[in-house]
Amino acid sequence: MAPDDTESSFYHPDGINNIRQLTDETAAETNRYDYDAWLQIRSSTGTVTNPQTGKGLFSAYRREDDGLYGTHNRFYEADSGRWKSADPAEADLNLYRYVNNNPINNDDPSGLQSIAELETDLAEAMRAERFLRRQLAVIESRNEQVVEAVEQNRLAFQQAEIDRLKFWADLARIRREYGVPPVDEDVPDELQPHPVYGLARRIPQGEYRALLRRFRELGSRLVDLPRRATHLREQLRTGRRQQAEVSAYATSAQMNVAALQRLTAAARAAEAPPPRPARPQPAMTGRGQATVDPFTELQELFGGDIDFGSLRGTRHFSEEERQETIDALGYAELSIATAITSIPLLGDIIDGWSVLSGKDVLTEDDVKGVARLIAAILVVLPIVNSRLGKLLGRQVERLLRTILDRLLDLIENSRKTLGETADRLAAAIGPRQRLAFATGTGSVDETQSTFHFSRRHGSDPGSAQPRTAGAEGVAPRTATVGKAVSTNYRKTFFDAYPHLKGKVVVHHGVEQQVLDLYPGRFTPAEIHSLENLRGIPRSINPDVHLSKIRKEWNKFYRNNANATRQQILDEATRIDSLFGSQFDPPL
Amino acid sequence: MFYVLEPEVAGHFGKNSVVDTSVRPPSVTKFHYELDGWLGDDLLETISSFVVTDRLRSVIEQSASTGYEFAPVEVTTSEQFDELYPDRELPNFWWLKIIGKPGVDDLGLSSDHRLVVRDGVFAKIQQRCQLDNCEVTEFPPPSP
Repeated sequence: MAPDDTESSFYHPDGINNIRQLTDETAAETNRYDYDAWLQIRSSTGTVTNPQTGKGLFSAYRREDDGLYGTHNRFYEADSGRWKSADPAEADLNLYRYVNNNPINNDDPSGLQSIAELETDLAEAMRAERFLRRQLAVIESRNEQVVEAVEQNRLAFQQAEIDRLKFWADLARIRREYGVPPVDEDVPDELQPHPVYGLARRIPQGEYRALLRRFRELGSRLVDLPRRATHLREQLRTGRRQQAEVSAYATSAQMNVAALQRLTAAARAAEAPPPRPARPQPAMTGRGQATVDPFTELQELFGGDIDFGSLRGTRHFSEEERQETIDALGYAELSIATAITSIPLLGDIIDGWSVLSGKDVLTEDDVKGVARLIAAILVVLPIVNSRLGKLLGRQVERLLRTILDRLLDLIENSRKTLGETADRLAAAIGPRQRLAFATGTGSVDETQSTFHFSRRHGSDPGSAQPRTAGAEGVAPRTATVGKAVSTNYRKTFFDAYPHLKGKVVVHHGVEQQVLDLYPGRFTPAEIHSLENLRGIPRSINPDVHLSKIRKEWNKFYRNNANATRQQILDEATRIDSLFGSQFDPPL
Repeated sequence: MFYVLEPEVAGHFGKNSVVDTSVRPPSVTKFHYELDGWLGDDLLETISSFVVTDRLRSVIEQSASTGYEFAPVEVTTSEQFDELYPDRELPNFWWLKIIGKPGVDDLGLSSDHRLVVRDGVFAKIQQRCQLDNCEVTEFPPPSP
């Protein structure tokens, strides 16, 4: 029996919005569904035709013909536990994975990134904004103090000028009193070669000493105060430039937060199940309510990108629901537009890069430009990494990655001319930041107390704590081997990753010497297979990392005279989990 | 007082080694050390076999009297080493054979096959040689 305008059914979802039961107006059960965690229907009973099984009352439905669950964005196949198409928002490294392979605890009725992830992005963006606001307040307060100091210095100098005039007047008076002529009659007092010293034995000793003290003190004030004025002016210039830059970054961050807030609100509205009052309310249109089909308006909003025709007729909306839907979609559109305008720094970065890109080696004069460029990129990264950034497309991410890579090359080339500065610049980008960028977790470090925008994981790539699987809640990638057709492992690696040629040092996950130390456990074809090859970026001191890896393996070899193949693979997995985040491609 | 040293592991047994790796520590008759990378420490290891520079050899000979022997070692560089350091010149290396008892002789090998060195010898080594990538712990570890 299909629902129509004269009959109402009531949905009863469980804690993660799976429809478990349908009841009629007399509260009698008409349908019942039992699922596994992946939405595969184990059993169902009932008489009412209902496409709204599975996830969510609002946005998911089940197609009768093939059993796929449809959302606004893509179809989910319960049999395989995977989406049938890639995540349009590209929010997961695995674009077909359903709810991070954790359906017990997650749901995803939109087919896009979860609200939880959006909230994480929002929290990060808010932290970044707070950090920038605090930095701005510190800089503003410091600038105010400098302005005050400039004024105090100006008054002190005025006073010194007055004292100077008084001093010369007193000197002339004393000379007159004691009849001491100037050394040179034609030269004014202040230009006399020894205006005070010439009085040593001609006036009383006490008066001479007082005069000499005043002369010396006046001399230092008249020298020190202008020097201090110059220093304060320079300090104020720098402070105001910093203030302008941080203010721009803070404004950008504020817009990012606002956009994320709107998008989160929109996502909540889109994913929220209908309110569950104490007494069940009709989820479908009941008698006397206006029936409005929203799909025409949806189609207009999204153009031809999504075919809403397939959803037509599956569900009727109340006027209130319809309006909420339109509002939510409007918010989403507005958020995207805001996101695009909230990254004005992108233009600055590209301009800055166009100046630097023609250079092979940096000079000292370039350093400030590079530092500013890095600071700007690090501020933009969280935005790009956010869901909003992803909506802007991968192009922006690719562009920034390219610039960061080229900057590292440039810094590397310039090490001889820049010395320690090059190390600091390289550390400012750092492999961890690049990784964070690649995995969408980049952020401004709130704990950094300096003005400079810092990457998230500290300043020394070598000291960065390895990313452990447990900390991220993700199972470690298990080390494995394949079959190589050639023992030229570099060729195997660079054939697979041609863009990394010259940028990484290739090494073996399970070391080559395992062939000799544990004969028969592996074949050379397995050891040299692509699955067993790792790239260590040349930009992160590969020799240091390789040394650490060798040391780990050495401990294993020292304690295992007869390791099995599995023990060796387990050790490779452990070592990968320690260092794999720094590999390129990362593990 | 003694210290346990876990030196930089700069390479592995080369193909010219004559070694039984089925036992621990491996029984080495002829030692060929192939360098994969070298951060510059004077004391190097692969699976309880130790290699030292000329400089460290002379420090050990001056400060330690028991628990060791020196023998020639063939040192070569691997493809990876040449890739990392295309123009690196190498000093003269020696095989440091450990024959002493840990905690008794100046140099010894612990039950878990790690190098144990008397504090006086270690102090001299630290003063005059590079051990930046060597992990050092007390032997035996202090009781909790």
